[in-house]
Amino acid sequence: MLSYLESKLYADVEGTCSGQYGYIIAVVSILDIGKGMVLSGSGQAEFVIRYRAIVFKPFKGEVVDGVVNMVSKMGFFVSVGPVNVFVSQQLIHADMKYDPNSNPPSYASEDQIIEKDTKVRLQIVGTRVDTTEIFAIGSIKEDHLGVIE
Amino acid sequence: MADYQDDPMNDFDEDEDYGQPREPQTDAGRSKGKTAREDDEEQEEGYPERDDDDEEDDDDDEDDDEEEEEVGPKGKKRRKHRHKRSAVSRFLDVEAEVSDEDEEDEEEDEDAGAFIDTFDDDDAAEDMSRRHHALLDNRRQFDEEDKSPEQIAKDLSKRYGGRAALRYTGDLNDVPQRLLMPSVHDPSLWQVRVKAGRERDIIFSLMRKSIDLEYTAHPLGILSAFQRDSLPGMIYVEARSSKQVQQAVQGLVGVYISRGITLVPIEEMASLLTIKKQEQTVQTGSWVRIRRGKYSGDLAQVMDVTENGEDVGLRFIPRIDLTPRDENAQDVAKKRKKQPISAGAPRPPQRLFNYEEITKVWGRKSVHHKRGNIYIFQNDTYHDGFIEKDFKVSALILDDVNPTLDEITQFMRKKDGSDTDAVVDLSVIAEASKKAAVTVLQPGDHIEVFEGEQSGVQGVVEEINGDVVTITAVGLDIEGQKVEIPARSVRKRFKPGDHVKVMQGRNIDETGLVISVTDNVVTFLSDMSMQEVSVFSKDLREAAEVGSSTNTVGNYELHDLVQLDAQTVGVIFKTERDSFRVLDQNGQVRLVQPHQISMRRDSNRAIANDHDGHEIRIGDNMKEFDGEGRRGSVLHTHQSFFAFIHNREIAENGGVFVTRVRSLVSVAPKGNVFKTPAADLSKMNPALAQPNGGMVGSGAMGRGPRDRHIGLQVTVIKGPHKGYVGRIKDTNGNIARVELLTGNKVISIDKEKIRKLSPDGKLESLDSRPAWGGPPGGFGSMGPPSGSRTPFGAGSKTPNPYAAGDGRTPAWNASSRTPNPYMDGGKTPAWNASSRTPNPYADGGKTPAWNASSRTPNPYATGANAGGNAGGWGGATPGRSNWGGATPGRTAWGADSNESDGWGGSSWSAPTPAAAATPGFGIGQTPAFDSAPTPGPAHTPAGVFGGSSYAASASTPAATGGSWSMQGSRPDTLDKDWLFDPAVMPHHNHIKIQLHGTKQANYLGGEHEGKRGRITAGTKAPQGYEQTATVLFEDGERRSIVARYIEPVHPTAIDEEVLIAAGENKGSTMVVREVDDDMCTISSKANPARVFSVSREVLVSLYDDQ
Repeated sequence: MLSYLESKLYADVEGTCSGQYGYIIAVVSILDIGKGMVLSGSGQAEFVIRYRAIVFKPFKGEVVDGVVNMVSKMGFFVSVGPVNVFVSQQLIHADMKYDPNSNPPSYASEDQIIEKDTKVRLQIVGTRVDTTEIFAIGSIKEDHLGVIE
Repeated sequence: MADYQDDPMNDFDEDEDYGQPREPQTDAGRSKGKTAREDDEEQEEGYPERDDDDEEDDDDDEDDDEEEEEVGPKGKKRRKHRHKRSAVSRFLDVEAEVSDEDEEDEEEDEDAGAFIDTFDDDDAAEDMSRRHHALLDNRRQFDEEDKSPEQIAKDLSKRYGGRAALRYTGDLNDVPQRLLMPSVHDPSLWQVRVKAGRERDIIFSLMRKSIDLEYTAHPLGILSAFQRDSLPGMIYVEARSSKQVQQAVQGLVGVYISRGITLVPIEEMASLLTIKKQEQTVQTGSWVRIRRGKYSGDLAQVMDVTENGEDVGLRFIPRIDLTPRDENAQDVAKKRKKQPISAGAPRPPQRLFNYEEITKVWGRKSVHHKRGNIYIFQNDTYHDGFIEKDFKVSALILDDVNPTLDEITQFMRKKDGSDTDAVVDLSVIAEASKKAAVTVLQPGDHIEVFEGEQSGVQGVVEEINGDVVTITAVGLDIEGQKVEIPARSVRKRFKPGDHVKVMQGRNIDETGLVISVTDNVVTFLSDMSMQEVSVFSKDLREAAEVGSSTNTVGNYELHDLVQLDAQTVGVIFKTERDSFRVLDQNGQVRLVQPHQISMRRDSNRAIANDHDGHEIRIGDNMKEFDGEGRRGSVLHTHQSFFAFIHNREIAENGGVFVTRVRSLVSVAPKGNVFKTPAADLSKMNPALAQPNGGMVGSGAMGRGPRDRHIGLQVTVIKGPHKGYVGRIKDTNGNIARVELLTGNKVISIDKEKIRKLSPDGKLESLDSRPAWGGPPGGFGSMGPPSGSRTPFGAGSKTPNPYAAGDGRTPAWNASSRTPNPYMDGGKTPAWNASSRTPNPYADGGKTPAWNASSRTPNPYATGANAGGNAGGWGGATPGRSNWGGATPGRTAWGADSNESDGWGGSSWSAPTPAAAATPGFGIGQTPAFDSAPTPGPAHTPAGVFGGSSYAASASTPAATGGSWSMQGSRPDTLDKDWLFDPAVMPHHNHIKIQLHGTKQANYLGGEHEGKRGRITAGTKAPQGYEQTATVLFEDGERRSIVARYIEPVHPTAIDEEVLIAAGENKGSTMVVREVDDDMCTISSKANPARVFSVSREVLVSLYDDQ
């Protein structure tokens, strides 16, 4: 029973996203499994489980690292763990120009090039928290942001 | 005489506008007017020493005035001179000295050149005058002390009397109007009717006439005349009498004296002359919209404004018709004018003037090229692609222009289409949208002051009061202070990262995250389209929600199944502003405008089976059996082949994907499928699907609520459409919608008026059951079996050709469109076996006849087995549902028959010994016949049957037919839920039950099979749940048992107490008087004489421990 509850917890909780805590990346430990309560009217039971988990919630102003997964004229999308961050072309430093002809498409300046799978460091400018996902926009227009080797 | 107009840019100077023209030109008025002007001048020239005393030397001033006119150009000198004079005159208060002063002035005037020299003596002179003044003052004081108060008062009034009116004239600039209101003493104002449009000319004629006659013997007696643009067809003349007016306008063309010269009431005179300050002054460079005509609504930029402010030169994007009608193209200019733009015709699109294009269409001659980029075309000037044209202010909309960014960028665009480098002049737009900005501010908005003293201050709007907003400043020094700011000088402030929503405009309801802010243009990344959108900050609000309100475009909304063309359907997975993204059945994404959609498809009735053959319904959670294993809920199915599935978690295509239904399996556990007795069986069993025959392709066959008449070929037998043949498309109550074969028409018609048209051309009543529906011949063939019932019932001593033969006659099969298991199955052991009741017919099943039939390769038998296992036999097909014992339909049926033919009460239950005693009779009531769902009772009068004419009927086919129809109404099987029938439930504690079927189902390991017991507790659970009851077995064990395994124990012995569990006397306890194979004769304990014969099957033995 306990192992069932445990696996159920892992299955139900890991990888989900809530507005309050952000993404629940992994359950570290289960602190306490409460007594089950059979729900009247059905054969189901409810257990209150306290657990410790690694969560990830991006905040405005936070500097995070991610991997570029799409580059377009408007900017590029970066995967920061489970969060998708969009870096608008306006929040990219002016000397990085979009080069649609390159393959894959990229933003390039003299010393940096951002294309798919490039690792970038960015600052989160704003977030939108939905019920099932968090979306953010980021900027690499500040110092020390941009491509990381 | 002046010409009055509304516009402020009048040629006359303002003083004259307000004052002088109304000044009566009498002497008094004249002096008044002069004084006014003169005082003005004095003010303008800024005498520092000027004081009230000035007013006293009125005459003196007047003289002065004349001097000034003479002096004319020698302004400087005059100024000096006046300066000096007034320096003296400020001390003058004796009239007598005025003349001296005048003389002196004149002298000085004459030797203008010597002025500078005399100026040097000023100090001495001033000294002198001061002394002199002191002396005078003293003297007066003495004088006045001597005088009596009366005398003083008299003197004062003498001195100032008669000047009261003039005293104020000096303040004309400050209180010009109020005190100048006309009175009865002033000349009157007369209204004269004139020809509309000629008012101005007439006024000018009047003026010339007045000037001409001024110095003649008979000058015009009028004082002024004016017209108002706002009052067409009228001029106003100021004169003492109407006669003078008449004289003045006499002989002028266009004046309608005959229509009378009307006096304007005094109180209206002022309002007639009030010039409405024009609030909107058109400024060069501002944006306006054109009110009327071809360009109505178009944005235009003001290039210049004429002096009178009436005409405005505009620059805007032309709409030149590049596809003129042929005759048009020929000689453009001439015809063009006469051709009004017809209202209905679409106006040509906005397009910059392009010389090449125009000449191509309209011919080279039509365009005149002037220097530079200027062309003349159709009398309009085109410069740099824009049309430049003068408009009247009245033809323009100056308010709420609200130019959009798009419109303005069009203006900024160079002719070649490239954007100019210069960013849009935002200030211009900001200006234009300022007014609107006030209205969109809301408390709580973050704002920023961008002009005025407080420029740069940021804050939060606290309250809005008209045009003033109170803000709580957020910032360094004045943190927290409340500041009042005009609304027009604040703008909403957004920071990158804010989540905003567009409140108005083209992008309304878009939401997104702000990416950048430049002045008042905010660029954000739309949540929906992931596109960048630029809007004015005034149109934005901070918002938490994600834009979703635009799920509907036109008549279609998100996740609708739409028909794109004959072959293609698709599901809308995304709505955009005016288009959709549609995923079609081939998995392609299309961008579709609403008009490209031919219709919305309703897939509610579509049928599709998944990989396991289970029916897929909309909303089911399905999983891909192969491939990517995607899962989601079914949105739509199409042609039983494609399924559109939605899963929020899939990012692609808004979570919608298309797959083949055959590759889907249900996510829900299999058991659920069986719980819904909803007819999957028929689909699982190809054999059952087969006999549908005529209904090929009708997917709806075999589904619950559908009217079985739908699809029938019918003939109209009454009414205007009599004789027409058609097909029933739909039914509603007793109205059928029939699609006629001819005329391609669908009519609604009473079912009474139509008859089924059988393939052989015969007409039958709609209600005639297909099963029996057989042509009369069918009945005939039924006859013999009926007749043979006696022997059969008696133990089936005769081999019975009935089951085998009848069931297989082609006539039968042909006519039956609904698979009726009862016709065959009902008589077969198969059926009986599947029914849960230990059935007397099981015995019958042992007779060769029954066996024979049960052994026939009978598709229904198979079906029966399958159904039996599922426990949902009765409900498996509509056909069965309707007829099977378990459905309400069946119940209703039984009830009906009972009532309608008085089955139990009168005829059947009539305790005729014959009926009761004749085994043949009883046997005649084979379940097969009973369950046969004839609407029969209606066919034959009850009497036929009830009249004990059974023997006779058995021998005559006709009578048999009668009895046939009667037999349909015997309730002799138990409901599936019999156990929970309200009539039965009170007896739970006593009824004898046994478990049956647990072995097959392996329920509790089958250990309890056949065990008997009684119910100790049982409550009907809501639909959809497994019914259970607690059973106390005879061996003392008590446990909860699923109700479907509980079967009643039927009586086997005489004098056993029984409960009737179905039929009319349901719920009553009786005593068995006689037991037959399948019939029992029972009577109540109380009245043993009253006997019934009922099917053994509906009787439940009771424990006699009461």
